[in-house]
Amino acid sequence: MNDIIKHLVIPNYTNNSNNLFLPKQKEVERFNKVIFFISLPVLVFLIYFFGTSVIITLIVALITLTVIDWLFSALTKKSISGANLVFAILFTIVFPVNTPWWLVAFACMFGTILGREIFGGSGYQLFHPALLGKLFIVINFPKFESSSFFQLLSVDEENLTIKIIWLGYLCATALFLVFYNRQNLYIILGSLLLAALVSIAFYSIGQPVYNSLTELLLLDGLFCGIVIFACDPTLSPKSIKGKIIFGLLVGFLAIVVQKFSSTINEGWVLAILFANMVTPLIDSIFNSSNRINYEGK
Amino acid sequence: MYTNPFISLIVILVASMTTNNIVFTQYLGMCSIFGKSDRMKDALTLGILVTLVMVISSVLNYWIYRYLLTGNELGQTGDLRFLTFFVFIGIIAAIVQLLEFIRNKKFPEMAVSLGKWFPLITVNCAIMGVNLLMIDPARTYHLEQVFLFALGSGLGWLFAILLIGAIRERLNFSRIPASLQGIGILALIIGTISLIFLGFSGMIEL
Repeated sequence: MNDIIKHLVIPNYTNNSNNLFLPKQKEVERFNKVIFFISLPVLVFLIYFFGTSVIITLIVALITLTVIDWLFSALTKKSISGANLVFAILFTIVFPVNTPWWLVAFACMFGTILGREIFGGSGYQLFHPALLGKLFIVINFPKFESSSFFQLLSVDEENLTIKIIWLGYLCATALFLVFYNRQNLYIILGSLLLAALVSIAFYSIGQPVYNSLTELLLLDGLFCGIVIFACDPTLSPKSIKGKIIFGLLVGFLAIVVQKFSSTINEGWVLAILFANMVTPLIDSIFNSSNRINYEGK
Repeated sequence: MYTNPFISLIVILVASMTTNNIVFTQYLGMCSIFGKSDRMKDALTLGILVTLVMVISSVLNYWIYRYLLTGNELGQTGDLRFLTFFVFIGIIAAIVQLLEFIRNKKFPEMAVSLGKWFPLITVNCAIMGVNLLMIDPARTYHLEQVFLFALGSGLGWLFAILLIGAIRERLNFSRIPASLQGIGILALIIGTISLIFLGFSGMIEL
């Protein structure tokens, strides 16, 4: 029980070697604390707008994650993976608001098993668990996809103050992430710049995806997605060149998917998942000179 | 769908590489990906070879199908389309055999590194899949479209095997449960990647 309370925010992850693919323990622990404090105001924002349904989602997500974590640790005789509260908040942020609780439980199960547990727990994940859960809902239950938090937020033209607060908060968060780890600059700036360029290109040929800069940043939650989900040290490349490519990939795919895909309303979810998927390849290409001899293991 | 012929060619190339990737949307050519993705260098060689065989065999088979098997171009009577499978697999086997001669002359070290996976390119289902997809009546492909479709599918296969190779390198450092070691975790990962590609579906119609 003590372990569970201790590991609500900090993942149970040990790696101090200079690994080509995985980040160091200190980095992961610090990032989890940072993302916890970044996502708390977003959660408050959600509760202010949508009330008790958000709290129910959060509780169901937390219970599901803890039970799955405990089950896996009991079945595979490994220590628990931890950081369940952080992941529960991230699941709550990314899920559509009107998702029923049973679907929340299923999607959390899917995301956390396929994204985290089968790789050995928090810190080893290959795909972002919350985004995998979102993809599960989008593909299997498209009727719940309609009302996402970001779209409800930007429908009203009246609540200009709230928009300004929201945009200011996201800008402050992005600045904080850059000061906390300067390499995040390449991901955030690269993705936003390329997204803006691609949107301008679509706008100039007469088929606009977004009509203004605020729409680009806020309408489908692109800015929020990049700030909260794209900077994870486990899921992004280690080298600077790799981070630039990761950011460009996210920015380009987010707009292109948004424009052409009929399955998903928020293009950045697929874009970040795709970029997570190619992260090992990017790492492998750009760090091949100081490669550790892994063969024969 | 696309009026400009040049753009439609580019779309075929890009779509068969990415959104309609033959591995992640059709689940073809899995055995070589499971088998030979443990070393990046061998994976790269195998991917290039598969691309080569795919392009040459599709162009040849397209010509044979169009002018010899369907039976209305050269004026012979009778429909020989029931021979499609035999002819296609024969042509693919002949090309692989030819490449094996070249390998024995020029790159003898490849026989050690690729081993049995070199002759097994013959039965790589991705190659036969591309050959059969291109003559699908729903896709009215011309020669240049067939060439680009095969090239894009081959490059998509190359991308897939490199991706799985890199992921396998990373998995060496993860704490995978004992029951999932090996093929199990790879099958789960490829299934998850297919789910991501399912999100891309509907973006481009081939």
